[in-house]
Amino acid sequence: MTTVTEEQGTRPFDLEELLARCVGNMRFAHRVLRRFMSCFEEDLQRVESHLQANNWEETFRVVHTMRGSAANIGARRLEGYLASLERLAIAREPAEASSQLMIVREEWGRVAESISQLGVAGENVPRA
Amino acid sequence: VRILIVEDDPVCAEILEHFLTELGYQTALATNGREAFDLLRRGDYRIVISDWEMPEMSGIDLCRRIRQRTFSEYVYVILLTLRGGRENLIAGLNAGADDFLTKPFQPDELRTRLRTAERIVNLESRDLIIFSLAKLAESRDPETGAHLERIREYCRILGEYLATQPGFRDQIDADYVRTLYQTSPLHDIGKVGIPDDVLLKPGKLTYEEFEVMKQHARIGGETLDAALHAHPRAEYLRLARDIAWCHHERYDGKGYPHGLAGEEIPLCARIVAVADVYDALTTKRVYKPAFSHDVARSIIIEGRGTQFDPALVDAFLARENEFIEVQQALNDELMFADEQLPIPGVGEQGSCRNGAACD
Repeated sequence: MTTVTEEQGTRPFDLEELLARCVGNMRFAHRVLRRFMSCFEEDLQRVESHLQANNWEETFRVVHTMRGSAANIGARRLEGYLASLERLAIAREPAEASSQLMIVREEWGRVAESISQLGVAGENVPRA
Repeated sequence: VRILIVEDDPVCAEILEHFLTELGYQTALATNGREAFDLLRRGDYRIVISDWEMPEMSGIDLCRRIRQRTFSEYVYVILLTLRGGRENLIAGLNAGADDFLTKPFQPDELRTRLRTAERIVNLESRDLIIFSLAKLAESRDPETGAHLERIREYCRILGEYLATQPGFRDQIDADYVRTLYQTSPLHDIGKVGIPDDVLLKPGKLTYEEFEVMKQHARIGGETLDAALHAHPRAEYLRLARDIAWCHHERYDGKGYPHGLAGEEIPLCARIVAVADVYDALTTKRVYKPAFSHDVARSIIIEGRGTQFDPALVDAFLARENEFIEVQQALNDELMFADEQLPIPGVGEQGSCRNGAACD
């Protein structure tokens, strides 16, 4: 169950879109991507735990935050998958939510690989 | 303008903070509504950009809290959220948000929305500042009654006429006239720096005293210029400064303080010069009676191209009936019949302090 549209493109993430938000500052864009990599991995684990505990409110909250991050770096397909997961959390559908989480994980793999190709690796950045 | 970012997602927060800093804004970050509300109570933030979904206190609850409380200045709230759609937009605006943007923000759109936000918060500041300064100017103005009210009405009449004339259409629009109307009462604000024994002297000023009196243009101009340097985007301060500094300049270059001539004199000051002199001529002062409109009219015509910009004299003549109406409607003799006029002094060489040949 996904709502990804054609317009969201085939690229895992849109560097140009991110760069526009970073006022063209590539160095800063890399810093944002490093933070994104670190936070996203942690958040995925949190979602998994919340899902296992049937904690739907927290699942929704974390997924919503991940979706915002994905949108900001221009990872539109990932954002779309997360939007679907968000709706499943609201509907409290455990089986479908777990399946959707798998889809999110796969897409996250593609985004992370694409980011790594830029020479950006995750870092330990404390969450706000 | 300082902007408070309220965002629990560190990636969004970092991008937004960087973007706003690059635009020249000072920012602070809160990670939920409660933290933001505390910062708003302690800090000086006029614009808030807030996420909707946050732990502890959501953006929508933050909006409600802000609107429940009266802050000393208006706080402009932009909701920046993943929640799109008409229902959410209405819910956000109903809760007290001023604007609504969906994530991820588009740089051009956010930049434009922030300009709107700034314009709105500055309008509030502008009205407060002009009102305070006008009251200050009034407190040191030896002329009484409705002098400042008449001046701004005369300026409005001249401005509205010029806005229709080919040579001025590009310089004057409705906003210019409105700002001129608001700032013209500040023309003599520099009198706050003139000693009482000169400002309130009950009689003719000596040459030395008149030289001191002339300093009011410089004092007013420099004071407002300093304010303008601190707030260079505040266009009304530019107009107020030019008026205070240059309303005693003459078209032939023989005025003060700079001896500017012709179009070197800012247009707003050329307008105020005519308005100020007409008012001085047509109202009673201790050193002169109130002249009739016809006498004032002849004196202003006589000053065409010497004291006054010829286009301004033409504007005055084109709208002289409106001048008469204002003069009659805001006539001190009728409005303040029971009040004793304070005692203004007389300028040098038989001229009144406004530079017209009054005696």
